[in-house]
Amino acid sequence: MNRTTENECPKARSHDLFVQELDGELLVFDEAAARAHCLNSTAARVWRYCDGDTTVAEMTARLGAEVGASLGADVVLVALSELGDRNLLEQPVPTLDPRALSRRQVLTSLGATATAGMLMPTITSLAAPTSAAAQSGTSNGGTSGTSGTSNGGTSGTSGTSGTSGTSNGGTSGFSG
Amino acid sequence: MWPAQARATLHGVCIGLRVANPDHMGPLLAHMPHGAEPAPAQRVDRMYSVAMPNRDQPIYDLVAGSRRKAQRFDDLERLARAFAADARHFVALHAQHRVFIHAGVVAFGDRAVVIPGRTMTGKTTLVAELLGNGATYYSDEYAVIDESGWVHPFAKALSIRTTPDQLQTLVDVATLGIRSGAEPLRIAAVLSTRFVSGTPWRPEPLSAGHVALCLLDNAVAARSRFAEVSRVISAALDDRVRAWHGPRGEARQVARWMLDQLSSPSA
Repeated sequence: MNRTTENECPKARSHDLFVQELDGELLVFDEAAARAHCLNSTAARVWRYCDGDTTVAEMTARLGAEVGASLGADVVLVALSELGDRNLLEQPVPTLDPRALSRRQVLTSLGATATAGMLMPTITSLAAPTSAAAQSGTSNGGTSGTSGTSNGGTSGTSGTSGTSGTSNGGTSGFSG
Repeated sequence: MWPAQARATLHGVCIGLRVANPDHMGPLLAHMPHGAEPAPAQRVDRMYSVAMPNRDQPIYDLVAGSRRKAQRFDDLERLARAFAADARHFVALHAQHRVFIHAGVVAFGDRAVVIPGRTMTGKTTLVAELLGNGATYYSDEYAVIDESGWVHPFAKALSIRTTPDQLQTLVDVATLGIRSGAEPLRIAAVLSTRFVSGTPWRPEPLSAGHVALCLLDNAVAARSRFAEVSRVISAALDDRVRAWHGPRGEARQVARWMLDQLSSPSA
């Protein structure tokens, strides 16, 4: 992480969002885009740190303290990248270099444990289907990609695609 | 011009029906959405017109709403089913203070089991199997959820399709000795599954957040009433809802498994 990135103070978007916490996850309904996002615990924490005053370096330290693990800034940066991609930040962090953010590398750095997968920030997203799609068996065809690990995923649903990273979720329509 | 007309309302949506032949009104009214009440004075939100272009031939035209093009049928029963499906969908899309999720719903005691899924995923078969194991029938098409998150019955006749290209057979559950629910219930369990022949049932837990996405993905008005749908889904879910996902083979295995889950101490 370069010095400039470390000093960034991202701010979470708050307008046109309906947010609900459910069992450690955060559901964010983007009413402007008719999209819903399910943030796992790590992604949710990072998003909440984004008050416009907290630096990336401070977020990294705070996250590590809260989860009781020594974490690199890459974990926070991956989360910020995902949040920015989904328009959940007022502005994307400008100095993030997507090429430098390999989820696989970050996951490796977290260690080969089950806990490592849980610490990886994950956001599962869904575009609201059209009424015809919800009625028929067709895909809504408009969802986004999700990335990272997931213990979620639903079968029998359609419309999500574009996964990257690994999944613990078995068959999935949503995959994270 | 139209010798027989009728209006019925459900969840604030008024369906109108007018027929060229008064003898057709009775059979068609039987296909009004479940729970619709006569509303002779209400403004019609969607009018269905049934004409016979040639009185000497059993050919029937159905015009729905403002569409200009008629759907033509050579069988009144098929027309009635097309009318019923369209009317249900229209109500599902425009219902006031209710959100319709494409799902089967049964209840065990005061706990609703919701099986979201689109057509041809086998949810009706699973609903029927659960009914055979003592469940109370709520719906095989929509989970109707109010603004406080309670699930209401939408107990239309069970539509069973024995082959993919076959017209569904409608079965009134009362004739099978099955109870239909009347009281709104909280969601206790969600099963997201689809039939895949020969697949063993190995469900995996589904987090509450992913359940919400799953319900949204099957909500009829998700796009047109996103904010309302989001809030209703949120109200329907809490930390006590248990959920699983995975492909299924035989419905019988899943139904017995579901019963075990609901009777386990953690349920």
